[in-house]
Amino acid sequence: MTESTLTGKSMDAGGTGETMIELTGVEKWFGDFQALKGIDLVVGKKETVVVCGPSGSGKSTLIRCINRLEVHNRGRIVVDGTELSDDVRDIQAIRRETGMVFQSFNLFPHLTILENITLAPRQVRRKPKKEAEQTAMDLLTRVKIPDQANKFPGQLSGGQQQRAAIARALAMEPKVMLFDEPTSALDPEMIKEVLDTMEQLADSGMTMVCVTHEMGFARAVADRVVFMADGAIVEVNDPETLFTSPQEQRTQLFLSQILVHPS
Amino acid sequence: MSASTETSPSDRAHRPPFWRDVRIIRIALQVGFLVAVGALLFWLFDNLTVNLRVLGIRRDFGFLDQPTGVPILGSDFRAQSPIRDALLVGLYNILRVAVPGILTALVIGTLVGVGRLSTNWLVRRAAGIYVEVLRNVPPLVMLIFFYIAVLQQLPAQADSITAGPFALLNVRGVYLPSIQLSAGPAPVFFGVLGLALVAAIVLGVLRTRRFDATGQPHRRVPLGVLLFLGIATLGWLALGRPLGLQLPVIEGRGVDGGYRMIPEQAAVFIALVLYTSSFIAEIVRGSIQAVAKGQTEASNALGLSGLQRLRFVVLPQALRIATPSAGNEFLNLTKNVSLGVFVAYPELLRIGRQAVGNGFPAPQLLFIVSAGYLALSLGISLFTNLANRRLQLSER
Ligand SMILES: Nc1ncnc2c1ncn2[C@@H]1O[C@H](COP(=O)(O)OP(=O)(O)OP(=O)(O)O)[C@@H](O)[C@H]1O
Ligand SMILES: [Mg+2]
Repeated sequence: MTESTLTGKSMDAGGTGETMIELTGVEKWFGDFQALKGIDLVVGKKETVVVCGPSGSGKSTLIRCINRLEVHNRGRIVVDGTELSDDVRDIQAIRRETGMVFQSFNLFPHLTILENITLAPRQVRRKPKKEAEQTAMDLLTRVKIPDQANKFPGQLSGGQQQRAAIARALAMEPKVMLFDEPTSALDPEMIKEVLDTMEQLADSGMTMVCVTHEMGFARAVADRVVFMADGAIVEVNDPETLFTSPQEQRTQLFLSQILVHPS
Repeated sequence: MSASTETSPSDRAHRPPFWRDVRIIRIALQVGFLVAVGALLFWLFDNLTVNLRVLGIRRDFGFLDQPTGVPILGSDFRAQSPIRDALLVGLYNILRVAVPGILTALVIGTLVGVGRLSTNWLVRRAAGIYVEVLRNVPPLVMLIFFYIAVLQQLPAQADSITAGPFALLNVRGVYLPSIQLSAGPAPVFFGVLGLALVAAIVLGVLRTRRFDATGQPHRRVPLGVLLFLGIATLGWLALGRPLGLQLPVIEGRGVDGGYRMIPEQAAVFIALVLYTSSFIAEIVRGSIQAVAKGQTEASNALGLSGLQRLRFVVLPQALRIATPSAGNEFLNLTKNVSLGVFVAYPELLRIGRQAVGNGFPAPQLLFIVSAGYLALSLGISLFTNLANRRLQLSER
């Protein structure tokens, strides 16, 4: 899109000011359909960026490109100094540094919660079993479900499963956490427990990119909010400014719809 | 109205007329079904006994001790031996095709099924054609095709097709190497094999402990196999090679040594393996595809390699999905061995029919044939159900 004012804000790393993730001119096609139309965005170390926008605007596609669950067709993606290329080693390096939390949890149903959490640290990071299990228990305590360790995912509530999924991602000691609508599949009473966990995580200095429509969370935690529509970034600003005095008409329309139907 | 309506919680005033009352309809249907089945069975049994008496046919199983009167193809069974033994040979001949058939079909089916998901275009297409052709030709047609159009067209003994010194192929059958034991040291050698197995398992456990303690790759399978083979080879050499392969060799008018598969058996084996493997391939492909896409994404996001993803996430779940249907295919293969009757392969049905032809009572013989197949099928069901139970338990 042609908004000239937004590039400044979107390339302005928050947090410590150092760059953690850098996207320049990222484009993505699904066949003839262009899902991302030249995304420029910098996320700083220890920064929390919330991405929102209408359904189909490309939010999921954007963050899935960052750990290469989708392959971008044009532009550059650099995570912590490593550029995503077709080199398997780069891809694995970036995936080791980025944790991801999905809307549908995607826990492994045939493994216990503890096994879910220790699988990657043991197989990928080659940690001793005791150490991996100790870390896992610490993380489960941190997300407040230490007594669920030996259950299978199917035996947990949605909120507990999502917190277990967050613990699983954290067990790899990632430098970046990506969240794709982590609370959309949850009942209202469970949303808070997951958001509290995320807020705690942000406070601990994790770099986070969160796709979410939880305005309360965005206001409390986000350093910047990115508003997307039709595969492009429309507006980027600190949450207070973006929510109270949005510059773009598209943003205003979206916010008015959300505020009528708060989630 | 029956007594059960008295205890019903529903208000009597609101009870529908009995012909519209679901509970009464349900009971009436069950009673009706029971009566119908009972009547049918009684009629059949009555009919049978009356007709057998009229025809003067025996209803006892005493004939089982009488001499069979004919030899059995491809076995050293003598015509004087009792029918009982002939039927046992028939049972054994079912297993002789079914057991190696199930194992072979499983291996081929798994390879083809995985091949259908390959990223390699050629592999994918070849696997696709294999499945589409083989599962759409009736197994009986395949059987007769292999018997008449392939195996019976093979050259005579003198011009046998050979695969090095290992296998012979001619119109009289397929000859493969067999394992030969020398009587003396062979039992000792089996002891050595047992020892080697224990050593390999101990090594595996130690390697796993080390992996748990340090995170260093355990490589327990390759190392264990290597240790087993090493000890086995040393023992084999030390004991003067007590175990050897006996190769089939043409000796005058016959073939000496090796394992002979008569053409009838080979035809049944090949046809059923090809047919069943195409279904197993579909089950394997479907089961892998049925594992949710999110599982692959989560594995990738965690940085697991492709192999690790298969080994720890996708395959354990796919196996769970595949076991019940694969068990059905094993049953089908076993029961389809009875098609061998069309090429005179001496399995149970063929032997039973032959005996009927020689004047022995048909009802009892066909009952025995059915019971034999039933027993084998139930045995296989038991196996797959146990496997299934184990997999399900590890799930929840
Ligand atoms: N695998 C795919 N194949 C084809 N089109 C796709 C694919 N994935 C996404 N799209 C399209 O790309 C566009 C962006 O999708 P994306 O999932 O990123 O949207 P989103 O902003 O996350 O929406 P939502 O809020 O509904 O999750 C949509 O129009 C979608 O239909
Ligand atoms: Mg989405």
